[in-house]
Amino acid sequence: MAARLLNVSRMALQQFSILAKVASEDSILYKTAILRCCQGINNKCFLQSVRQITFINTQTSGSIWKSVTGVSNVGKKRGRARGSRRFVDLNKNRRLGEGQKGMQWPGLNAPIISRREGRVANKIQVLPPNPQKQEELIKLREQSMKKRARNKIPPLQRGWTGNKLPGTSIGYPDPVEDYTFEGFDTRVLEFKRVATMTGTLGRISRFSAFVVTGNGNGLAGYAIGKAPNGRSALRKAMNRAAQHLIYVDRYENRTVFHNFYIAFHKTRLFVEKKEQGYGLVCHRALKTICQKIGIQDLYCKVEGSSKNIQALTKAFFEGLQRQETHQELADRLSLHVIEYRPEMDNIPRVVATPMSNVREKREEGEEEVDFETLYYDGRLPLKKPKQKPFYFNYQSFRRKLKQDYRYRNQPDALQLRIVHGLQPDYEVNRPKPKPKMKQ
Amino acid sequence: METFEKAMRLTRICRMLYQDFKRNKYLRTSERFISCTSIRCDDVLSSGRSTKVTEDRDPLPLFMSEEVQTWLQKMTGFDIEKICAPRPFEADKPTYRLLTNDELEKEKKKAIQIAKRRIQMPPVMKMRDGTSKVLQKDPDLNMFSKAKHVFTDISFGLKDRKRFIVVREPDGTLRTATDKEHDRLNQIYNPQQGRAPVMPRMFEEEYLEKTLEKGQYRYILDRACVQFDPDNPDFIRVAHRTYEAVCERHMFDVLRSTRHFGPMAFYFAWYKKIEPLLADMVQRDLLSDAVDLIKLYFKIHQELSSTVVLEENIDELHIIKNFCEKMVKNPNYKGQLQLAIQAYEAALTSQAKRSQSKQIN
Repeated sequence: MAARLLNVSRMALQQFSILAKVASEDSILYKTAILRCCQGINNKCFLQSVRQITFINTQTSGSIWKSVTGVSNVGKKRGRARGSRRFVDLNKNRRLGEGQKGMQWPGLNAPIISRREGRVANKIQVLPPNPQKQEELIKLREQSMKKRARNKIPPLQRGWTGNKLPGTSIGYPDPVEDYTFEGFDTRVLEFKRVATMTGTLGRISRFSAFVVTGNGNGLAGYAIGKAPNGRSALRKAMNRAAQHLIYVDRYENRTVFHNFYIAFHKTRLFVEKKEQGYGLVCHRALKTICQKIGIQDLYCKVEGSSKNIQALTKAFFEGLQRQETHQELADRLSLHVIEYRPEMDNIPRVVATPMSNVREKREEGEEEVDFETLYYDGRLPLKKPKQKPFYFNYQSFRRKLKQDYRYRNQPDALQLRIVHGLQPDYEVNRPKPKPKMKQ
Repeated sequence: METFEKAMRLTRICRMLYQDFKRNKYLRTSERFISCTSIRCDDVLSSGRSTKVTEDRDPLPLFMSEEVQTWLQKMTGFDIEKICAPRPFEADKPTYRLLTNDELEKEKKKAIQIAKRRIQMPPVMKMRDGTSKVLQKDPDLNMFSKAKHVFTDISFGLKDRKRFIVVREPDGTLRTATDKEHDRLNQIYNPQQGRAPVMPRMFEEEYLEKTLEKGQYRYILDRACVQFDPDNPDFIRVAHRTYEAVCERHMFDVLRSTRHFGPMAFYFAWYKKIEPLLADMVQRDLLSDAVDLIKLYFKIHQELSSTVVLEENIDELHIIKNFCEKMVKNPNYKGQLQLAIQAYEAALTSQAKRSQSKQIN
């Protein structure tokens, strides 16, 4: 074959090489170039057959990707596919037959009859070059490669944990006739799938949503809603909660009137009244409920079941409603209710005075009422002292404490020195290195 | 003589220490009640500014006189909720009690005692003389140490202001401590709660202005009372600047029922600037306070006392008017005061008319 090729005249070879250069990128033109070349030499020569069919252009892109990055099914189960590269579609946004040149093939990648120029048949032609075409293609491909960003929920409206619903805000209830629930906000307390067995249909599962809604100013309500669809269960619960609003009286619009004990089923709550700025230190569900009611300072200890959110909520609302205001207490006992606040030098501040019949004197041997435990129903919450770490009595830890003792004020003192500009600059006071001895 | 003997004793001890130091290469205190401190970054600490003394008279005897005290206390007022207003530290859990009438009365009496302690006025004093006296110069001790040596008498029961503190300079001079050194060393041996060893930066002029802009007059004055003695030049500077700021913005009511109102009124009377405060008192229908202020003014400046008649049976408004006419020279202040008096009179007449019409009805 090689010897025969040598017979090809120089002219023909030149012609071929020029054509081949032009057409090397497009296989169809390449073939026509070879054909013309052969005609040009009057069928006197044979050309070496070109291997057009290779592994690359016979396989689909999917299978080629798989051959490189593929992991067996067993491997997938064991997590080997976790770090592998994602499939990139290189033909994305490419049109069939267009090629590098930008060919127009009527019937393949262009309509046969052009609509623009008054119903004239389109021609096979090379379209005018578009220099940005390659860049546009790459840009489009990269865009499709990117993961779609999840829309961010503001941190205060996210749930208690992860991507779960409980704790999240689901807006305000639907208006009832003319009344729009302005200023209300609803939070999910519990969201779960529940099922029932029926004789005819078998297991039927639905979603159950337990929500609390409130305006943050004393008005709040809770309800449960069930529906085959999660979203409608939430709506149902929210609107039902709006129908069961309760007004909760608060002390100074920020905390409860007194400590109290309340129980519902196996859930027992010890709620404590707290000073301004204390915050909500309690179960997360109670915290959410308090925020909706408008309670800002409260401590609560849950004993018994703290997982039963419905019982927890019911107990808390019941306890809040059973509260006795200071005025009621003063009237009941015919005594003044006096508050002592440490930040106000513990001067007595009269919170409530009985409407009538104030008691002048206490009877002999009569004990003073303990306001702290007055509403605890004869119980006391278990208050454990803070446990010391296991190494507290180790000799090594004692030694460490002893060593640290003399430096105990240094962090504060350092800060003070820096504030007053008295902290010596390290660079200035660093001891100078000793000169090296000459050898 | 006594101080001199004390100083000599200290010098002897210092010498012994020096010999001891030479022998043992470390310092050892020879007497129990004497302790020795060396100070290095002294130059940084003692660089503070001081305001010049403009007035030679000592205001303390006048301020402490019974008459003046009663006037100032009356002016201050006694609103117990404001005296014991929540302080800017973290609140703690409140306690509640259920009391009978008798018990409540007793508690209220106790509260009044607490409030009275809270409302004690810091004395208005002359600026102290902070120079140190050289007790001895001992050229033999020149360069015995690179640091100054400070000797403090830490005997039990000594009061801070009377404590004897001397400094041996590296060149051998023995001198009494300056006021700044005195304060700092007292704070080291007998620390007082809330007082910083170095003046907090909020009292520096730049930061003080910022705090004044926020209107935290009470906070500034309270903290200054903790930080400084009342004759400290810095205290006087801070207090005076705060009073001026209060006057500029007419925020006198912020300081009513606090321990700072009396000294403020005294300051205005002392420097003859009582007019804005007087106008404020008239506006708030506190005529007796205004008259007291005028009395205080003439008590301080006795050379002017013949100009306005101050007698018990004369109408209060008349005295104020008289004062406005005769004593106020600044047209700005005069206008202010006259306006306040006119508004007060107008209010009086309208009230009278209303009561008349009521009677007719």
